[in-house]
Amino acid sequence: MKIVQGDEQPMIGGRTVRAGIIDKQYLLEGEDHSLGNFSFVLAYQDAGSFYSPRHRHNFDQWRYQLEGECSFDKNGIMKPGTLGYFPEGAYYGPQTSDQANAVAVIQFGGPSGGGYASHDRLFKALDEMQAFGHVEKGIFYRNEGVPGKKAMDSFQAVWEYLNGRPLVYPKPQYADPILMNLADYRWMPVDGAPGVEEKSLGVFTDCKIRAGAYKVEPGAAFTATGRGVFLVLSGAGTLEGGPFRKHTAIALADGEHATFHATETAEILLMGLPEVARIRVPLPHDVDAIALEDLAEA
Amino acid sequence: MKIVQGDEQPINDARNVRTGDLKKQYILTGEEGSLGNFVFGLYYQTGDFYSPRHKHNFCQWRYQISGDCSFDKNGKMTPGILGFFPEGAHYGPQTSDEPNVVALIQFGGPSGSGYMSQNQVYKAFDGLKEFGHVDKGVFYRNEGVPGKKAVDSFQATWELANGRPMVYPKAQYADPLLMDTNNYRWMPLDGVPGVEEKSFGTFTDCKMRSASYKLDPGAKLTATGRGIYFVLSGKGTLEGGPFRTYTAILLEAGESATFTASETSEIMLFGLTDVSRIRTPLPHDIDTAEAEEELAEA
Repeated sequence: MKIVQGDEQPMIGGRTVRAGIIDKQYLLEGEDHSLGNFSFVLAYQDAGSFYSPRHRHNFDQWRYQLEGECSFDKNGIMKPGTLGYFPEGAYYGPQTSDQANAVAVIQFGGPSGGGYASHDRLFKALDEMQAFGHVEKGIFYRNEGVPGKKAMDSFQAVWEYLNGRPLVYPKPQYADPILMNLADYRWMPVDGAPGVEEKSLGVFTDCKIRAGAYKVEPGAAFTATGRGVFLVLSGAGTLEGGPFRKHTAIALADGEHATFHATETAEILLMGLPEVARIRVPLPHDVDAIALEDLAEA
Repeated sequence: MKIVQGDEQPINDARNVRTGDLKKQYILTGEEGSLGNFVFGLYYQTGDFYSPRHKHNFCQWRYQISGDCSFDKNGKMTPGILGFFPEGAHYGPQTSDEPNVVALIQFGGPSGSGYMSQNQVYKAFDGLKEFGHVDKGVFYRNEGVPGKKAVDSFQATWELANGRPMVYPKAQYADPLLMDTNNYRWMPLDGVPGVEEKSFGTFTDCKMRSASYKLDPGAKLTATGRGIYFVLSGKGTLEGGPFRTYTAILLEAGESATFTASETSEIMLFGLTDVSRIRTPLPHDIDTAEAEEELAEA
């Protein structure tokens, strides 16, 4: 169990493997090199500066729009209150924003067992790659004469450099990102928890990744369980002996639980993580012709 | 509980409000007039099918059995793809240029808009003739009859049957969810030897489940909860009778039934809405401005 006060985390300027300026508050992270590793940040984008081409990842993402808007082209627009589940292997975007916006982003190892590389490892690799190429609008261009594909999605290039093997994109379990506007779901009572209501947003993939929101009335108690990140969107109270307030976040592992006691009406968002026991353990024979096919398409 | 042998049901030419030839094999229906009403059948399209981009005020499961169906920017359904089409979400245009077969369930969704049976549709449609006429899919009110002069005929039918303006629900997911069932893993089902599950997800605040189950010969699966279990392959016994390809069973909340396989079997679950969670429409739910806007757009 890890608890963090989001408003106490420093704002760190601007690194991205794409184009544009992003300030980030790093709230929580998992265990690097584990299949279930994750990173949870609040990302703040300047108006009009961000662009990423249509692409996909070999990890999963939750995106919850806090302020402003982000466009994902044919995949829709995320407005405040929209939660998006972006499955590994599914293309999305291009992503643009013509206004300043803030988004809570969790990137995490998905069902395929592709894992998730920590930011430290990622950016260290990106630094090293400057020796033989450069990034422009989300594409890594190799310098003249450097062996390898001349132009490649920048994340893919970093991953392949880091792992020393071709990136195999998992087959997506959903063809497209799933965008959910929380305002379109109903608050419903939670059995056995007086003063607590839930918006059940869904359970996704064969790793049973959950999403929901919880409203806790003053004086009520809500016991969070199961692997995932619970982010306080509003309200105040106590959590495991300490305070909670807007942007307090807690990560729970499988089998763990924690209780929120509200002193003010509180709204808490659950962005679930895969049950670790259900994540596929990659095997050597998983790297096969699919990888070569992906490289040919890149 | 209702059990039906799909292969014993007649295949009939169907009236089609769209373009193209369509035959339907009805397998199961729900309770007319209830918020959780549904119809389940196999639809045989003989090519050249076209329906424009549109949305419904009910939900759909579509499982592609053979051939392909295109939904334009929402993707293509090929054999083995399961689609959840949420109420209120636009999709299509839908086209197919080859014969194809799809298992289709249309059912009352979370909003409480229900699902009209064919009998209800035809009765209301006949009733419309008392104060207007239908021409090319548009209902025209007679001179002096209160209400909008021209309105989509399905909408006019629905409004007469329900006695209130038809307001399209806000979609809980922005787009249809297409799931290639081949991209999910078979995982053991706890405490059930010889049975494996592919868990596709649980959707909306009414918790519609979706999964498939593989039974080894001799294994037993006890199905529970509201939904339709549809045998894709294999054989065995079900509640004292036989099951085989296209046997279907409807379970209501709290009911259960046991499949005992004599051959390796694969069974698909199309979950239906938890009736206790369906919104009961109230007079104050009718947002006049929104209703007028929808009517104006029709």
